[in-house]
Order: sequence, then C-alpha cells, then structure tokens
Amino acid sequence: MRKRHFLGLMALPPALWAFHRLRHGPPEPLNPLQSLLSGEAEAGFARVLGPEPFMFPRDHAAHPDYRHEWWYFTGNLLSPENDAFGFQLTFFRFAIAASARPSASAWNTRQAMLGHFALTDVNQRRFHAAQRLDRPALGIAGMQDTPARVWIRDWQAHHVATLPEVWELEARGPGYGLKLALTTTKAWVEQGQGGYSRKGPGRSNASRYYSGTRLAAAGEVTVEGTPMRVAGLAWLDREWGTSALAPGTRGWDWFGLQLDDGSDLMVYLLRQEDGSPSEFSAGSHVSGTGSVVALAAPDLAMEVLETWTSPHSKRHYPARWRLRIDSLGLDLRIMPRVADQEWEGLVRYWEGCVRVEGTRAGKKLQGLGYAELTGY
Amino acid sequence: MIPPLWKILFAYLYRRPWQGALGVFGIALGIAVVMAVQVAQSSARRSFEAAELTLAGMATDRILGVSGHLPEALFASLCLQEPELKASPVVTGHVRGGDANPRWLRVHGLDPVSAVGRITTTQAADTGLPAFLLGQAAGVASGSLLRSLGSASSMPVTIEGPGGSVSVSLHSLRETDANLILPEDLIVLDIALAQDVLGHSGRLSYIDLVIHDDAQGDALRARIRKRLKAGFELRDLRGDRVARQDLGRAFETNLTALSLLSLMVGFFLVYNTANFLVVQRSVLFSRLRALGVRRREIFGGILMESAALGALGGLMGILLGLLLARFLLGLIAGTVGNFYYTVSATEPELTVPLLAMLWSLAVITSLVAAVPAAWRAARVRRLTTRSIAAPTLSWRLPLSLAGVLALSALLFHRIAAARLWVDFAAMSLMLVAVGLLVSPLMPTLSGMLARRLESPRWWPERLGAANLSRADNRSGVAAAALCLAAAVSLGMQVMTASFRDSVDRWLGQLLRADGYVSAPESLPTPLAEASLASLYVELGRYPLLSAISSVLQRERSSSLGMLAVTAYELPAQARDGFEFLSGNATGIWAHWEGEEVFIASESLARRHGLTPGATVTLETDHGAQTFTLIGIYRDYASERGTLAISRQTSSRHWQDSGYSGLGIYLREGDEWHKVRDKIRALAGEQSGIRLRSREEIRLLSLAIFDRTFAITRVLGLLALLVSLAGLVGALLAQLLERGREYSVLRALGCSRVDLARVLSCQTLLTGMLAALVALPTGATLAWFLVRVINLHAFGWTMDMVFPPSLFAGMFVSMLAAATLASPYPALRLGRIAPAQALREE
Repeated sequence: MRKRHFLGLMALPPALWAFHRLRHGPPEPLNPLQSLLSGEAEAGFARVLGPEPFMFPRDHAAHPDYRHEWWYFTGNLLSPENDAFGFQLTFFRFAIAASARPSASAWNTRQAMLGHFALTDVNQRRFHAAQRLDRPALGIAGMQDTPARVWIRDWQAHHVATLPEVWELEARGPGYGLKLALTTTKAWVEQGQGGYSRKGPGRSNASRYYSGTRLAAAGEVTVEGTPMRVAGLAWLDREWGTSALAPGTRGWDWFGLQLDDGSDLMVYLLRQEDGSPSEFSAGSHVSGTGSVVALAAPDLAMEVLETWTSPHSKRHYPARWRLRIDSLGLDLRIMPRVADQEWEGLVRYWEGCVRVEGTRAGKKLQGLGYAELTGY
Repeated sequence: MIPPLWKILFAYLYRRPWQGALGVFGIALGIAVVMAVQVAQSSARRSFEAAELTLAGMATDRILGVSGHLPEALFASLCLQEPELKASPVVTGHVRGGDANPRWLRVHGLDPVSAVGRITTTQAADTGLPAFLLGQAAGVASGSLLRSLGSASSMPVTIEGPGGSVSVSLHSLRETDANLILPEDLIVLDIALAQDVLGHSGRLSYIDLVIHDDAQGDALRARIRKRLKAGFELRDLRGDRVARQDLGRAFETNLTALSLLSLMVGFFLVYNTANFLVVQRSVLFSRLRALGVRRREIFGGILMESAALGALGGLMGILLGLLLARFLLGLIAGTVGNFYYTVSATEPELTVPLLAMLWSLAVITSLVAAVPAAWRAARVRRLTTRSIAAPTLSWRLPLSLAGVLALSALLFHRIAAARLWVDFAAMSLMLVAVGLLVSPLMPTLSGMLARRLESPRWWPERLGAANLSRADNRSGVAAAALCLAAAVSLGMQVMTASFRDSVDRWLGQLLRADGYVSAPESLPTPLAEASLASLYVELGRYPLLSAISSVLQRERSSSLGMLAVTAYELPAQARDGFEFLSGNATGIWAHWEGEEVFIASESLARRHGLTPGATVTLETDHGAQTFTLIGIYRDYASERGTLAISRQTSSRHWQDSGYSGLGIYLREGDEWHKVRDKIRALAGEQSGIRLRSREEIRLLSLAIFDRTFAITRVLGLLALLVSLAGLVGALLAQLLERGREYSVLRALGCSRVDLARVLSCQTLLTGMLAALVALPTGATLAWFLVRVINLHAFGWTMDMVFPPSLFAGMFVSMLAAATLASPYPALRLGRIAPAQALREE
C-alpha cells in the first residue's frame, strides 16, 4: 500500500502537466469557409428565396450582395502524346459584411477572394495544387461585370460573349500552368428548380446554381516548365447565395460526369452530422440533345465500394462508388483517376478527376468527370 | 516484485523519516531553484515570441521606406509582378483612444486576408475571425487594454487620429490563448480603417514578406531588391530577431548558471545524507553480508535508495519550483522588459520535456552523490559489530581531485575561450574544487583550535572543536555546502557592486549637463520628437542658457544589420563626458562634425570586432554611405551597443528634425530649479515634458540598475538557505550518531546548557571555517564574473571594487546562519533521557 503511495507521488508531475494542458489547451481552429457557408449571416445580405430567371451574360459576373459565390471550372484534358490531365480552377468570393464602411482608402472592401488551382498529371500520378487568398483592392484581385471577369493576381477567368460563348482561363502555379479556352456546346443548365437549388429545410437554405456541363476545352498545359497542347471537356459550376447549408450538414459529395453517349450527369449528396444522406441531395441529367431532367434524393442510389486514407491528413475519403439511377436506367461505377488529390489549404477537401464505367439500360458506356468530397 | 533488500532499506527510512529528509530537502531546494529559473525564463521568452508572432508571424523580410513610409501602389505592383509572393501590407501610427480618459494607442493596420501573423488564424474571443475587420469599423485589442479603457469586448470606443475620429467596436483576444499576445497599448484595425483614421491614404508603413530560405527565395529577394528604387530597402527580419534573442540569451545563460550552482549545493547535501545513512546502518550491512547478500546488491540498494530520495526530492522541488517560478517570472519580466523586450507573461509555462529533465536531474544528481557512500557500504565486512569508521580523510584525495578539477577548468577555458557556457563550466569546476578543499581543512583547523582551549571553563567549546576535528566528514561537507553558497552569493554581490560602481562613475562623467529634457513615455515617439524639436528652437532663442546638447536615437540599416544609431550634438562641455577606451579624444573631436566618421560604444565594438579605422555602411536618404570608426567609448547604456555620429553628420545624410532628448547647460550662477520652471513654461504645461536634474537622472538610472539585479540577490539568498538546511541536517545527523556519547555526558551531570554550548561552538566554528574559505573564493568568483563572464556576455569592461562592508556582512550572515543551525538540534539533545538512551544502546 505504501509502495503504491510512493509510485503515485512519482506520477504526480505528469498529471499536473496534463491538467495544465486541459485548462490551457489550444483552441480548435475554425475552418473559416465552413463558418462562412453555414453560419448565420447578418441581416442586409441578399438571399435566395425562390426561382428567378437567369440574365445572361449579366449572371456570369459577380453578385456581390450575396455572401458567397464561386466560379468552378473543372475538366479532363488530353495531349496529342496521350498525356492525360485533370484541372480545377476555382474563384471564390466571400463577402465578410453586408455593407461597407464609407472610406477614402483604396483598400476599403468587404469582400475577400480565394482561388484554388490544381492540375492532376494522370500519367505521372501527381497532383499540383496552389491557393491564393487576396483582397479585391488596388487591382490585385477583383471582379468585373462587362465582360464578366474574375481574377486573383495572374489567375483569371474571362467571359467572351461570342456565339457560342467562351470562357478564357489562365493560371499558374510553381512550375505548372494552364491557358484554356472553354467553348459552350450546350445551353447553360439551370440546376434545381429553375436555378433555385435547395440545400436545406429553410427557404433560404438555397443557392442560385447553373452549370455549363459540357464545354469544349482547348489550349495549353505547362508541366515542369514544358508547355503542351491539350484538348478535352470542361465543366463550369456557377453558384451564389447567402446561407446555403442548413445547420447539421457535415459535408457533401459532388460529381460532374461527362459520359461518352453525349449526356452529362451532376449529382450532389449532402451528408448530415451522423453520416446519413440528407433528403436535399439532388442532381440533374442532361441528354446529348440538351434536355434536362432534375433528380431528387430518392432517385439516387449511391454505394461506397472503397475508401482511401490520406497520407497527409490521415482522413478517410470514399474512393470508389456505385451510382444507380433507376429512372434513367443508369448503373455507374466511379473511381478516381489518381488517388491522392487532397487539398490542404484553408479548407481541407478532396477534389479530383474521376473515371466512370457502367451501363445505361444494359448498354455499356464510360466517361470522365470530377468529384468533390468535403467534410471528411 | 521488490527485492527484500530494498524493502529493508526503505523500512529503515520509513521508521526514521528525518534522516532521509535532509537529502530530500537539499535536492528539492536545488531543483526548485533550477526549475523556477527555467520556467520563468521560458515563459518570458515564449510570451515574447508569441507577442511577435501574433503580428509579424512568419514574416522573414520587410520592405521599408527610408522616409518611414511607402506608396501602396508599390504593394500592388509587387503582387502582380511576383504572383507567388506572400506579402502583407501594414499601416502603423498613433491615435487617441477611449471615451472617459483618452490615451495614446498604437494602431496596427493590416489586411486580414493576406496578413502573415498568427492573429489571422485564430479567433477573437467573441466573434468569428479577424477577417471580420474587413470593411468594418472594428478592431482587436488585448483584454487588458479594453479593461483599462473601461470598455467591454465589442463595445464601441472612439478613436481619434490625424485623419479624423471614428467609433470602433473593439473585440478582445481570447485571453486563455497563450499563442496570441498583443501589447497593451495596441489596437489592430483593418488596413482601410487604419489609413482613414491615421490620414494615411495611399501610404503604407511597411510590407511584410514570407520568403523561403532556398535558392528560389534568394533569387526572389534579388529580384525584389532590383525593383526597389532608392529610398526603399528590403530588410532581413530573421537576422534582427536572432540578434535580439542572442542578447536575451546571454542574460538567460547567466541565470541558468546561477540556478545550477544552487543545485550543486543540493548535491553536497545528498552526498552528506547518503554517507550518513551508510554509517548509521553499518551493522545492518555487515549482518546482511553475513546472511549472504552480495556487495553488488548492497551497492545497488544504496543507489536505489538515494535515487528514490532524489525522485521524491525532485517531486517536491518541482512543486516548490512552481511557486518560486511565479515570483521569479515577475523579476525576470521586469529585467527583460527594461532592456530587451516587453514581456507580458503572467503564467509560468510547463512542458513535459522540462519536467522530465528536472526529474532526471534530481535522480541523477542523487545517484552520483550516493556513489561514494554506496561504495563504502559495499565494502563492509561480514558480521562486524563495529560501525564503519567515519572515513579517514587524508589530504591527498581531495587535494589531488581539486587540483585536477582546477587544472581541467583552466584547460577547458584555454581551449574554448570566449564561449559563455565554457566560462560557466570552468567556474563551476573551480567551485567544486574549492568545495573539496573545505572538508579536509576542517578537522585540521578545528583540531588546532581544540588544543588551544585549555582552560576547563571552556570544556564544552573544546569538546565542540574536538568533535569537528575527529575527521568528521559530515560537518566537513556541510561546511563545504555553506562555503559554496556563501562564495557564490558574495561573488555575485561583489560583481554587482563593481558594476554598480562603474555605472555610477560612468554616469557621473557622462552626465555633464545641469538638466535633461525628455518627452513623456506615453507620448508616441514621433510626437515626442516633434515636441522636443519645437522646444529646441524655443530654447535657442532663450538667452539664459550657456549651451544645449541633444541626442536623436534611430534604428538604422547597416552593413552589420540593424544598429542603434545615435546622433549627438555636443557642445564643448558635453564632450568631456565621453571616456575613450581607444582613440585620442582631441583627434576624435577634430574630425567629429565635418567628416563621415563615427564613434562606437564598447559593446558595439566588441560585438562586431571593430577597431579604429574600421568602416560601417549605413543606409541613408541618399543611398549607402560608409562611415569610419575613430574611437571607442565606455558605455553601459545597452549591451547591444550604439553607433554614434554627430548631429551635423546625421543632418547631411538624413532628413530628420526630431530630438529624443536635450541637455541643458546653465550659465554661471543660475539655479536649476528656476531655469527648469522657465523651460516648463516655455514648453507649455500641456506638453507633459519631463525635466530632470543631473542628480535625478543618476538616481533613476541606478534604481533601474538595482531592479535589474534584484534577481541575482534572490538567487544568492536561496543558495544560502539551502546550505543552512545542510548545516542543521549535519548537526542532527551527528546527534543521532553520537547519541550514546551525549547520553553518557548527560549521565555524568553535564547540563543542557553545556550541551548547547558544545553544539553552538561546533556550528559557529563550521560557519567560521566556511567563511574563511568563502570570502577569498567569493572575491575570486567576483573577479571571474566581472573580467571574464560579463565581458563575454555583454562586452563591458568595468572596474573592480571590493567593498569591505559586503565581506563583513557575508561573514556575519554566515555566522548567523551557523548560529541559527544549532537551537533545534540543541533542543532535541536536551530532550534525551540519559538512562533510556544508554539502555537503548
């Protein structure tokens, strides 16, 4: 008994230390974007409350009265030498406050801009990613209405209102780069109910959402300083809103797939805190001729076949899926073209190019696309 | 399963807790001091780092304008030309803040989106991110600032700057987050708001950059340098940071070494305890040997026992150290704050490695200290009823050991001179050598004394002296501990006294003016300098002064990194205040004003190895300019050192009209207080300008000095306390050991008073003998501290003084300590019932 007392005394200092840490432990860092997307927005921001017709080309440009907005370009490219690439170039705009203070300073703004640029070298299995965060002031970053243009330093997306319409993209990271022209081949697809995309039970848990599901991409990719000609298919997601996510939404899995029968499929599955799918999961199917069918949660049967553990964050991401949409006769298997396409920056997520194989009403088909996995 | 032998040993300790207590106590005190110093230091350092990282973060470089600002277009073009560059614009300035009692506040305007400091990555206490600053009339401040403004977090506070007045809701930082520290006089605003309120539209104060330390980073630096026009510079922040930390480190090394000395005293006490425990149980050991216990097992058992005592002592020491650390942290923060950087730590910071280090230090010290005793215990013959003879102390072993130590100290010092830790190691070796000499000196000297005390009246004293002369190792070790503690304490006091004396004389020489004018510290520097400048102009018109001297202090970029550059305007009277350690005064003053020359303070010269003729290049308004060193002067104002040029030289190269301080020279027959009142009237009551006489400045400087050295005094006292405990312990041990002798004395009719006399004579003699060695050792130590350690640590030479009062004081306090050691043991002795004690034997 005495002996135990003695040993107990020897264990005291570490115990004291542990207590000390408990009291003064480092605070859990807050994911800044998560808080902006789901937090309660102050009054004064415009809100998405129902369907509204889009006005093009005006709606290609920024909507600064809403709290958040993005221009989300992804695509799969191929060089004449069969070098395959996936790319993602995203411009996020966040309004920190609903109104700006009157000011004589050129720095005065209530917006911040975040850019993500990733290039996946499929053959080399390498994922290059760079992030830029800037204040839209003094021309360093900004948004322009006509013609629609967003830029962060030397990254930019520029709309050319020709017929067919074109988005010109340009971005560089350390040793790699991208210069593409994306030409529309189908009409803009209004997601949800005429562009009103519900993401939760509240009327304002929604965003305005349209996509360019099949853009013909052509241009140049630079890898390790060497430029090469590339061509392929790209996808544009445009979305803006003020308080899109309902409380209790943990994350989402988003897929934009371009199938070789000319059809395109967009699916997002919202996950709740307990991991169960949200009833507000949705999607759309665009046929080769451009006819759109909206998909709701009951239409989507998603099954995770495999998971992948990130060597960087040790997080587990789903890495292979079976997606069945009986109403369309679709039975698809989706797999990443490269396993490690995890983003480590302000926000941690997985965004990468994927490959699709499957059948439509028993007929084989395949395709390429992009997937985004957040909240893991 | 615990071996039976260990059980036996522990059972013995358990039944006689006081016998182990001495060792535990010694280690505990030693560890407590080491820990307190370490913890207080690391807390102070961490708080400094946190304060720096909060705003500057990972910034490695900074772009500055020589004029103090840059156009904001420079930032924009830099970002567009170098898109990968991590750059963050900053606007700084001063505003008046607070609604009830407006006070000056520093403003740090940043772009929360691109800022590189920690403040952007962590939350404010009550809102989301600092990003909320964007476009808002909001700011972030420390909780203590908000309290001092009488405002709660998020409450609006009016701030007023040159650009206008605005109501800002100030949010407090999360106070429990030790990683985020904002100075108490600073508010963080969004850059747009800062520009507005400071009236700095279009202008930045500087741009912080994060550049990697590789070939690409170097190429980037080169490109940026090429783009920067004259009047802008790219400064390496890491160099500055390292330089500042080096200075702090010299101070810290000093403290660490002093704390290790306390541990050394603790070591002697454990050594003492271990020996005593072995002597006490010699019969037990011989019986154990007879029962078949091997030498190795006994050896291991004793070591284990000592390790356990050390572990317990380490634990107590850590708890005690925690209390002590809080106290020391205040002292260190005061010192560091005076000279190096502002520290706002209030909470000692504990880390597992530190605790583990202290814990093992306690155990290892105890183990090492017990090796000799364990060795002796293992050599006990089987079944002897005689106790182990107290170790016969030949002169040879300690003497030769001491000689070896002293020699190695010398050698050590020769090999790697000018390294601070080597200095300290050499000093410690020498101290241990002295400690070793004390033990054998003790019986010899006390034996001599015992023979002198022939009169029967002095029989208890003779007995006391004889007790000591009986080659008694325990008293010897206690004396050694006391001697070391006293020597260290005295050495530090003499060093401090020498230093203080040098500073005092230096001030006496330097302070030539009758009075000095400075602006209140609460005033922002630019305003303070401007108000002194206008006073300077006024005083020029004032016919009653015989002369004015002035000083302007600036941080300037140079070929040696950032330097403190002082521009002096020195009338003839003031020039006598400079004592040149190298260079000829007449020659120096002949070149002083007209040529591109400078004089360097001693510490600057030493730090950079400058000798007259050396050149230093400074960034001026017109580009780089080379200056030649013509003299080195004595200066204790900062150990970082100062590069001094004449005001005239400064004006040729920098457009800088401010003044940091003025010296007033009265005309013959004028009185300071009258002139002072006139100057005050001239400056205007509102200016808050400070006027101090030469004497006031001197006293103020010395007060700061004393505050700085308060911590060394405290450490010295602690070491003495540890050794006092040792003395008490040694006496108690002896009582236990000689219980029978004392019982016989009592049985023979010896009174309690007589026994008390025996004991007090013994302690007094111990104290006296220890003092005999401690006083010269302390003097030597002081010499070493002044001539070697301080020179290496701070680059200052100073004159030695040996105030007799310090030596006398130490002698008396050692005797007092010795006297204090005897009452408790005497009391215990008095309680002995002779018959019972004899029967027990």
